[in-house]
Amino acid sequence: MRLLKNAAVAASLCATLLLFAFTSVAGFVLDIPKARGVGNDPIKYSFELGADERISFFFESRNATVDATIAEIRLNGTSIEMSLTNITSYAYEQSRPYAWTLNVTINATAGYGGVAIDFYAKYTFMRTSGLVLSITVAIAAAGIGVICVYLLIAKRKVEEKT
Amino acid sequence: MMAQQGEKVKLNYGRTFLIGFGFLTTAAWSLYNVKMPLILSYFLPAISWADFFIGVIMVLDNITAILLQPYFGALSDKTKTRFGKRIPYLMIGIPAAVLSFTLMPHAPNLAILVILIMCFNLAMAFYRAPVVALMPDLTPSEVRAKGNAIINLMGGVGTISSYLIGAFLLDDDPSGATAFSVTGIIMLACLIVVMITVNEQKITAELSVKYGPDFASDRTEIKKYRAEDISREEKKEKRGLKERILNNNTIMLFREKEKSALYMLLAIFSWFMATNAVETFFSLYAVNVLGITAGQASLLLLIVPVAFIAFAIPAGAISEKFGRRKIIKIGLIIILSSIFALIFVSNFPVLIGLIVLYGASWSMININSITVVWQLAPDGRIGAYTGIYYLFSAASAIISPVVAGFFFSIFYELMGQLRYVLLFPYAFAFLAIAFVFMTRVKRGEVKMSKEEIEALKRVYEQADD
Repeated sequence: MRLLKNAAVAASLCATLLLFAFTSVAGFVLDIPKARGVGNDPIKYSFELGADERISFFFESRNATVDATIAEIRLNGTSIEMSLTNITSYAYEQSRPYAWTLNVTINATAGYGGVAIDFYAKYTFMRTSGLVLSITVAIAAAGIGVICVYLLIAKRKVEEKT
Repeated sequence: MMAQQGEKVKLNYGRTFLIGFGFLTTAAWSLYNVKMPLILSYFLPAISWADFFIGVIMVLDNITAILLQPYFGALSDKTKTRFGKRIPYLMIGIPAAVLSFTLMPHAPNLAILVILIMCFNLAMAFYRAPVVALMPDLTPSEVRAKGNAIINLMGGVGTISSYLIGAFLLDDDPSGATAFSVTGIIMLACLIVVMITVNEQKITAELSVKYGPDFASDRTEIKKYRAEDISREEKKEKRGLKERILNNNTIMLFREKEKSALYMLLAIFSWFMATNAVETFFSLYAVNVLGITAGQASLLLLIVPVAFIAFAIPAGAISEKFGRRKIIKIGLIIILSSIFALIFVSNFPVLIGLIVLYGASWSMININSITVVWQLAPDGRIGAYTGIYYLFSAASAIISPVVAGFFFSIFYELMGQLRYVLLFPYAFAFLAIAFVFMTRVKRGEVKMSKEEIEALKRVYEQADD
């Protein structure tokens, strides 16, 4: 029984460590440099995002020390009001998975200085390594939990017999 | 017995570190506190009461702590299995916590997310008091302060790991799935380490042979008087609901004749009122009054746990020499001085120095306070008293941010942004109250002088009359 317990525990440890070792984080960054937000011209991008991908936005105004406004971001027509002025950098995170084509429109207005501002929008995608890892860990946790409960019950039965 | 036979009691550092792996798992809270408000906000876009809802969810863990930790702590005192009395709670609680924790970032809707959060809170509350009580169960009273320092050190390592996991993985995977899963793996690995290396029954047997069967309990002469007092009080009530309520460990604190335990817990409540407010509002003070950035403010706050960890072992070691209550009181005087100075200081290097002082004195207070509580626990009730310790600290975590926020709001018209400077008088007042309570704590040391014992005997005898 003791041998079985140790073997089960050791196997669980090895399994979790191996799962961790083989599940890496995969992602890529799409840089769109020199997206000029001049006047009220919106900056539009369209790309497809799978159900297993997530997105986050980061904005940084480059070469600019001026006041500027990002009025809104539209994701598939759903407006996200920004109302941000004097932007030097801002991160917006949208982590809910989208399973359809994503149209992003950024309405950016330059400040009174009239200087063209280079907006830098970085879209970060995450593939589902996170999801795979989560499911794996959840299964491992459930497995270890079941083993633990079994060990507790088995031990109690041994106690009762003796 | 052996300790009385002249053998010097020594801390088994290796074993204490291994026990600390259990406590390390509770560092999952750091990641939870950072990420969960964001995850909740995804589900509550543009709703005016979203912040209120997030606040309610984020305070659930403290409510669960108040409601359940004393119960599970007391239950673990009575548990008997071949795995011991504390480890079975880890064996069930940790996998359950990991299961709900790793699934949280994938919740398809708010209802499921809230259910997962409640499962996580429940699982964490299930094993929190038992995992903390594991060290004092397996460590002679004389060296518990040092032992607790090591446990806190492990907790600190866990917290830093948790922040690092967040820093490295949350940007790459903003959903939090990867960070939560990696934390889950660490928690499961810690459980396995504890299960393989910590044999409660074997260690207890070894220590009983080496130091006597009462190595983990109060060995002073007062123990007898107090046991009689508690047993008499417990027998007063007839069996039934009223008896159960009155004999509850928390209620019994108020019924005892000698009230050191109650004063100690009130002191704990008071200083957590102060430190919770500092933790919550320091960033607002730093940004609005000192004029530094939010990033610099959070860096300043990071100094506190670093100083705490750095001073943890010295704080435990000096208390063994000079006494726990004395070190706590010295810690309180130092922290009061640093808080007082913070009202007037805006120079950055001086500010850093004062925050280091704050963190160091906080370790003198915090490392030793729970060891006093364990010392004050009647025989076989370390788990229950650990739960009560968390009841008092969690109550302050709920109350203090609200009270402090209300206090600042009163002065909004009068002081504007400068009102945040009132954070320090607020903290000072509660720390001073804690000091007053500490002066009323008459027990909590491994050894007591003859005068102390006589004075306490008189308390019990007078009460009997």
